[in-house]
Amino acid sequence: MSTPSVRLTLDEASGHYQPGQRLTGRFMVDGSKPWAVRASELSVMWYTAGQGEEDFSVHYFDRLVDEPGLPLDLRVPRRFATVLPQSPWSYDGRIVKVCWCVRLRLTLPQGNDSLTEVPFRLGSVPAVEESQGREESPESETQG
Amino acid sequence: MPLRLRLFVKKRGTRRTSAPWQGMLGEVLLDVVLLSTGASFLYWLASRFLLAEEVTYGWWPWLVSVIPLALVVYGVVGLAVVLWESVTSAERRAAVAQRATDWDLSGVPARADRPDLPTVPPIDAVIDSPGVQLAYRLPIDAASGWVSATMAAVCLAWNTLVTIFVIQVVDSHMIGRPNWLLTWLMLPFVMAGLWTLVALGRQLLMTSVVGTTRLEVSQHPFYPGGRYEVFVSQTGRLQVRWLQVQLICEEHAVYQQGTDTRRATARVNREILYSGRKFDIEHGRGFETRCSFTVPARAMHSFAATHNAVQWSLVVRGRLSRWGDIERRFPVYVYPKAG
Repeated sequence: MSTPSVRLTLDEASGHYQPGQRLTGRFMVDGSKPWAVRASELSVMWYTAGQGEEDFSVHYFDRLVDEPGLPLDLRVPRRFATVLPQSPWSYDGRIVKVCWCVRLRLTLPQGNDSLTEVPFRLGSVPAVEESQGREESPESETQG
Repeated sequence: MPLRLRLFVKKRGTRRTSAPWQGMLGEVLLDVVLLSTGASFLYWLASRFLLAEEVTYGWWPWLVSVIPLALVVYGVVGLAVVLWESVTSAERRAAVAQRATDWDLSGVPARADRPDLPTVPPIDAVIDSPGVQLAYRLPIDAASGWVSATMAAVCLAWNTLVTIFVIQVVDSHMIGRPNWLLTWLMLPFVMAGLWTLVALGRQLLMTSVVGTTRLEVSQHPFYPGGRYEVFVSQTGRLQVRWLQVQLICEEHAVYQQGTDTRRATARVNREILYSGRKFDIEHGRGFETRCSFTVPARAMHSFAATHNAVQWSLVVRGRLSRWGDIERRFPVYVYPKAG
């Protein structure tokens, strides 16, 4: 089964944002004929990865629906914009990771979904190194 | 892979024992069964007792009707949830939930003093106590109190059960018909009971002997790159082999492994703010020290989600000559710098 070729881009090429900064971008579907899409959902969201169960939250959500009088032609580029929140910052820890992304979900007439994601970073927390936070007893330190 | 019904197999790891649609089907079937059982019971109750014209049964049929009503409500809500989850995406559900939590409740004033920081825990619980030396006295982590309470509960329950059996064993010996098998079987249980008593006594003694640890900070919340002062006071009559005050950052993750819920912790930052070795703390003259520290400039802020968290704490750790190791934690919060 073929899926539409989606172009989802952020205007900030580096993909690095600071809290409170405006995130803008656009998305469109390639093709000479319009794809039959029941709905498109664009989300600016964060989710956790790592050892724990996934937590996620949607900061910005925009849903476009294909209606009889107003067909959804996604070949026309659609712009989106949102002001990013103060938290949570992107984080690459040892067992907890916080990842931000822009996710586009297209609901196709067959009932299946097409997902496209563009990750970006919020804030400037560096990745945790393996040796960080290791415990040593003061007695073992002195005994060498 | 052939489809097999495995109701009594304990699931391990993260693998699934069935396809997601099978789980959804099971949920729908359960809700339909609950709904139909509740509706049938309610119909029977209404036709037989509630609406009976010839005899009045008083208030009890109305009370009993709570049971089928609960089944009906549970079934209807369950079906509605399954339907909603099957026709909407996870992001759309999250967005709806987010909008619902953003609604202002009438009569509840908005917190103007706290910036809008999603997933960053509020500090209200740790700044309600002013300090003597510095601005805020930090509350101790409640976990240490729970250790004593849990140990006391386990000790009481275990020894009550063991005592009942011991009385029976002693009785059998008193009347001249000793049950030697039960007598020998009781020995390890009695030993375990004595061990719980000793452990509880030691824990209570340690709590009272070691005394109070007081920790105060000059400002709260902390911010990355900020410099703060901390005051530590330890009472008791102790011979200290070493004592440290640390600023630590830990990651906590809760995950399902099969049918078990597990918790993992990883320490990702540790700064030693004070370190002292081999000194005595006299009774009536507590140990006091003051030091300052800087929160790492590019540190992650405190983060709390349902299954994942990044927690900062000030920890007083040490080793005492007769009492072994002590560790007392004081949760603190690091807020992100405003963008």
